[in-house]
Amino acid sequence: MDGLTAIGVGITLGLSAIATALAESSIGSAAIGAMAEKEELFGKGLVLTVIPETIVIFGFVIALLMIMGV
Amino acid sequence: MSHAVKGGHGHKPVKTQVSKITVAGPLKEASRALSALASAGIFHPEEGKVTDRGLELEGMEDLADRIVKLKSLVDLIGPFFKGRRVPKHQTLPLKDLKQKADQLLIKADEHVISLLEKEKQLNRDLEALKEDLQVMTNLNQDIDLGVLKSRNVFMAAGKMPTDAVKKLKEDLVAHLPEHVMISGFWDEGWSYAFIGVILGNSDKLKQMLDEHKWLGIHIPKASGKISEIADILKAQIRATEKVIHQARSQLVDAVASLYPNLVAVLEMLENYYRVVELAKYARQTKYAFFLEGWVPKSQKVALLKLMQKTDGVVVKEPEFDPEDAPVFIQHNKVSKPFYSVLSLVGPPKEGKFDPTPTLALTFPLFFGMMVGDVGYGVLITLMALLLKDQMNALFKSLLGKEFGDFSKVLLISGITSIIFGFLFGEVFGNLAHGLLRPILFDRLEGIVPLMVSSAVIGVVHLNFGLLIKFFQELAHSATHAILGVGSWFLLQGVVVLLALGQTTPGLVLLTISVIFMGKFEGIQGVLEIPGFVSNVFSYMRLAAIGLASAGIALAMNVLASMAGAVAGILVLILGHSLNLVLAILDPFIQSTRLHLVEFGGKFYTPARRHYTPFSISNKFTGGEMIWMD
Repeated sequence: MDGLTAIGVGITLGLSAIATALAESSIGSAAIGAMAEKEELFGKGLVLTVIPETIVIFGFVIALLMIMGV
Repeated sequence: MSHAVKGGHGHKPVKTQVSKITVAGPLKEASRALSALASAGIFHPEEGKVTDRGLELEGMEDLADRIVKLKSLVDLIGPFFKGRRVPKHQTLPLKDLKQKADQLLIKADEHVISLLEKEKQLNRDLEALKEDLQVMTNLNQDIDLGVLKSRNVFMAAGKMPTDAVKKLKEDLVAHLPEHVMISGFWDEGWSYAFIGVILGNSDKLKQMLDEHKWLGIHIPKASGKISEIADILKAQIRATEKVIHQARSQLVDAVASLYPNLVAVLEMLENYYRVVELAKYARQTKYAFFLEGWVPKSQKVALLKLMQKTDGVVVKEPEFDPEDAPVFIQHNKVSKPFYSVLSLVGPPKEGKFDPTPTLALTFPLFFGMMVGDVGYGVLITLMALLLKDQMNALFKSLLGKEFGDFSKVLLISGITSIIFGFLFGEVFGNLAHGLLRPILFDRLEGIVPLMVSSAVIGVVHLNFGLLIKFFQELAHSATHAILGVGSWFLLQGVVVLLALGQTTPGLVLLTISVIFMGKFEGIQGVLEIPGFVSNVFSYMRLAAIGLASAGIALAMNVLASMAGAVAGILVLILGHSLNLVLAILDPFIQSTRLHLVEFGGKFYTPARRHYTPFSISNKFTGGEMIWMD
């Protein structure tokens, strides 16, 4: 793997992780707000909060493809 | 009694497992009817009707006061009643119960509280004696303390930072040469001293002590030589300890005879108070009461028979919208714990497929594939076995009381983690490298097969979800099922054809499937095609989470090998503990997500609520019916 690919892999994974974090922060705070009103919403809040994790999984897959030189 | 159920959304009428019931009767029979309903444990009151202005029941006003008193008493004496079983008690009528509760409170005041106070006082005395002994033990001179306590002498006792003692001594020699000072070590960084000066110099001494961060301490009462006082104190401590031991056994005996009655009476009172809570769902007019709720069809006859025992109470079965009905589901022992996962978003709608049994298979499979380590798997299994109650309590407090037996989910998932651990050849990462060969492949070296197998699992799981959707639709419309849902299968056939180089038939089938999809699933369906691909990618988390877990374990092992023997063991314990916590939380959340979002998204529509019958507790009582008159 050459240097530029390594930088590309880093950017791919890093940016997709930041995107997930940004999305989860808004959903997470809304979920906590909803939970404060109605405690039973913990389960739904948890499921909704982890939905944007797919973004970082995409980043991970693309990073792996780059490492493998596809 | 006629019973009709409205059909939902133009489809065939949905059969519900519960019936709607209204109970109405004369107000004077309300207590009797409600108490019977509460203790039968089959009636789910209509939640939407709760207000502070429910039915007011007579004779229940002073229950709360007694419950609070008994509860605090149970908390107070509970620690003295350990490891013994409380026999089951016969439920008493309310009037007798109130009397019994009052008797118990008086008995507790007379026999137990006084003993408790006595024990506390003795412990306080013991602490004071031990403190005095500490003061007497470490002093640097064995003088007669009586000298310092004589009428013409002012005595100060206190502690100060050890490094300030020397300076204080120097100041005393310089400014108050006629003094006596004995000192000793108190605890880390602190020393203490007794200082005596002639009475006239007391102000000067006090001023000097203030400048040396002096903190006053208790002056022991005894006089005489310090070593003699210490001996006397030791004897007093031994005597007090003996008295405390006797007082404790007296207290334990008194508690043993009182506690079982106390908890049983408390439970009975709380059960009667549950009737007050049920009454909040009811309505009243001047002469009548009215209550609405749900009962499983299988229990309807039992409820009717029960209500026949109350004079003038009428039970009706009104029409209802099946969408409104709480869902009543029963599962077998194996699949029941996995229903907890579904209950996070709500139970399956009546008449729809309940995927709980399939979760019992796939949830531990996904969990195990992500953990994939023999070491972590064994620890998770042990935690599920040994910390069963704590685990269940933790998850119930987090996810609500519908969240059932989580320890069983963890137990089965722990076992699959061990199996995958052998397949991947991992024991706490690469700790058993060379000893345990992977049956399939090493995860960190076989990233490609791991990713491919995750995607294949995803395709199979998603198609299973589509298949469920197909059969659900088949019950309503065969055309919709075959041409609408079937077009998803056709579309996947297109991918295979294109991959095999069959471009023309592939494109023809693609056009057909998109047309059918647009017609039967709407434009939404067509737009969901990229969504299906992203769903398959989403299953790659099975590989990603697993790689992260294996990576952290490897990093900890490398760090430990770089540190020394002791530090290395510490790094291993701390690092793997951290990874173990992650290995429980993350696979749990991700596996839940895959089932509820990707798989469930294909067919699952949750209902609004579960059937949760109103019931009373029977931990210490026989679970008899409560009949209030």
